[in-house]
Amino acid sequence: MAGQPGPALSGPGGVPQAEPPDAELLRRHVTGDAEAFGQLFVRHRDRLWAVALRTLGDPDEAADALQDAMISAFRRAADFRGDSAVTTWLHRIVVNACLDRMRRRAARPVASGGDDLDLLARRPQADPDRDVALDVLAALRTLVPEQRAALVMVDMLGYSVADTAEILGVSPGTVKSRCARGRARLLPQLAHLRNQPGVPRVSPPAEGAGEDQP
Amino acid sequence: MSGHVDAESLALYAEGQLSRRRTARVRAHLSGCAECARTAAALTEVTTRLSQVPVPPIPSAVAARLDAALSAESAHRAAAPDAAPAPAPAGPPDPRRPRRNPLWSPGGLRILAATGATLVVAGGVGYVLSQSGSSGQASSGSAASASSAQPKPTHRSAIKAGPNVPPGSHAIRPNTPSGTRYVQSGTDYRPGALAGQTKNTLAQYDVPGLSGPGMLPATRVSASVHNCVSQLALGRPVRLVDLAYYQQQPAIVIVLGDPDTVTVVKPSSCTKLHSAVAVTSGPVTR
Repeated sequence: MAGQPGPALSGPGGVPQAEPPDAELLRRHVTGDAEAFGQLFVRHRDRLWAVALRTLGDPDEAADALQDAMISAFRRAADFRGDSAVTTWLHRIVVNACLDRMRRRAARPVASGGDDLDLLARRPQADPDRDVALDVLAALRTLVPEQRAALVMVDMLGYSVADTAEILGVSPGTVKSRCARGRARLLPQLAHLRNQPGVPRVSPPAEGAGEDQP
Repeated sequence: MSGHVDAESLALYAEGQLSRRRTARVRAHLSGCAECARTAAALTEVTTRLSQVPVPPIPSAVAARLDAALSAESAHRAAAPDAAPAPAPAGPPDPRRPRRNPLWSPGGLRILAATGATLVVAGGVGYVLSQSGSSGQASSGSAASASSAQPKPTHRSAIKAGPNVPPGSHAIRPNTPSGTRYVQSGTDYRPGALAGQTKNTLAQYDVPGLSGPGMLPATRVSASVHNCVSQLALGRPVRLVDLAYYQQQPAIVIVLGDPDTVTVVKPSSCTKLHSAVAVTSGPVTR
């Protein structure tokens, strides 16, 4: 996101020197280490959560999808071939779990659009940033799943087009097209925000204030 | 090109995703059309807006739930290492899995995994939650679950059992005194009323053989909670652990016996929110 480096999917970014690399943790997991997968998850859970939460737009659904995805990854770890980074593989499983849920949900009558913003709602009242965020997230829900996943990863969470393409299993051009169509679709819904605060600023709103984390 | 360029074409143009012919036409139009130039600028603002929505870290409740699910999965694997790989959890959601069941969560986030139901369905083996009750031993509903709930001592989870397990470890271990009673009373504990509220909870739940709403099998409780309780107990008997609230925030309320004291800790970090105070003695329904 703005003001922060985008998430790096490959390389040692964020992993302290002393800790084993992702691929080593996955190998240990496959060979029976009971804790290796948990370590791997702890290392990446915030990013995986962000992807699931913003793609699905509902914390309960995101928690369910993330759990399904992690159980699936836990069991299918032996199938990991090492032709992509472990994080890419984890992201792919999470995104696919989210897309499956969105498609199933699309086939059913829409339940109340669950509120992602339970979390944001804990911020002070009459917070214009929060109102803008509410509108943006509501607009995002109107996109088809494929556009939404691409736009969440690239525009919202700052993943590169190349990484997003690998995660989604499509070409970079397809990611760009999906993002472009998604932006065009959001445009009229966000037009009323053009005079709202937010855009001119360089730094993002205060991060995570009042969330569940210490 | 007659009229203006539509927003989608402008967005695709900005991404270099139009054919050469259309690219040339859009470029030519943009150079002379202020309105389309404004639309193009507004499209970049959409990206900016999206990037400015705050991204929260994983809530501690969700992290604990995933922790518990992965712990259960590890224990399951350790108990049945030769079992055929279970199918990935695809397909429609299990109707038995509770939805919108706000355990320990004012914000609608659950602290506890619905791991039992998930595993029974997805794993195909009856790894059933057990180990509740004062005996601390499995009282499973079927032979299959009994065998998997008590891994043979040669398995990893048994080898590593012990009090020195670091927090956040990912296998269910019997490192909480057996018979620990985990409950979810839903109480919102307050600093001034802590001792009295604890006494009420004890009266309500510290009854041998009690089961039902509010009681939690130990296997539904995440490894980090178990470890936290063990760290705090330091060998003292654990009378009751209430996954409840303290000043409206999720909290672990730990009642140690001999003599009875109550301590409140933060679920995510196991740091103390309220240090130990004596629970008013008196006849407690047993």
